[in-house]
Amino acid sequence: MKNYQLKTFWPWAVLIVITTIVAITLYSLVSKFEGTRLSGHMRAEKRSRAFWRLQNSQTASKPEAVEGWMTFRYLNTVFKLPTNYFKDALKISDKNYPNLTINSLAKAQKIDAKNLLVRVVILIQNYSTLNK
Amino acid sequence: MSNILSILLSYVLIYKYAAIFIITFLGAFALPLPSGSVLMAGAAFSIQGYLNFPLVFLVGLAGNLAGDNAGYWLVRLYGLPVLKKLGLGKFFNREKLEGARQQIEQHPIITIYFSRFMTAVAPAVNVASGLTGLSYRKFILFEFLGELSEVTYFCILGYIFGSNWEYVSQFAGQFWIVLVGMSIFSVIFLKKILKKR
Repeated sequence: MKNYQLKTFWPWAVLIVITTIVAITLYSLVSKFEGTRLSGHMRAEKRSRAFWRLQNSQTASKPEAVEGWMTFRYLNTVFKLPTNYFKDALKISDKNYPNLTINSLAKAQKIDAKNLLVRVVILIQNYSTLNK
Repeated sequence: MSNILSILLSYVLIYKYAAIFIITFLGAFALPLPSGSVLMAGAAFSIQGYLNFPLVFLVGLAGNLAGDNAGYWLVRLYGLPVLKKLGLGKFFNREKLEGARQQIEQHPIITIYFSRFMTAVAPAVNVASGLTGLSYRKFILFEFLGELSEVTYFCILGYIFGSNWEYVSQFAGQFWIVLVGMSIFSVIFLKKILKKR
């Protein structure tokens, strides 16, 4: 009798435990996601669009999202820039260009990576302003 | 973003698919690398036109499968002789290994399939499967299904969230708990309903 009761009880116990874990995780997930969205990381015009589309190909409108690990080839592709745009503007002589990250260029030229990053962002913004 | 992830991503941008293969291979083989985040980023790069989505998916899957199989076969072929040489053979006697093998064989979904989503656990399961001599057929079946689900999961997240993959990768683990929880919930619930009928 006791065994029978245990056998019928355990699946429900497992269900209750799993439901609780899922509910808590879901709650923390939604609140974290909401926090990220409100903090400005996900600046989208409409809430539904923010959730499902999340500016998939809109990086081009956000040059401030550029980071030091990105290569010039990647930036050329994403922001639709001419291949030699950065090479000419920044006077890059490295033969690995455009397969070169912003950080490694800064290291090679012995300049501050943050400064170079700012210059790259400004160059992208200038190009998109001139070619609107 | 963590330092290691930014280094790995710069390799992905420079060496493309070769980097994705090596990172996923090493991640599945033994090193605790964030290969899930790399796959998400790879899928996001493909949306931006830098990589090709089907290739990211296939190379990621191939890297994971190769890493798992390398771990399994290396330990299966050389594991015990090496342990015996190191004087650790007494901890791995036939009875203990047989018991462990039976446990893995009885619960392949929990041990092999679900462990694919846990970066730190999956290589240990590969080693355990190889060491206990678990049948390769069983290992490859559940390992393949697990990796297929894992790679699909991360690639789809990267594809849906695009350039915001970095922010979403913080939640990927929790998303996974919800998915696994819901699937276990559905299985138990369905079993209960079918039993009643």
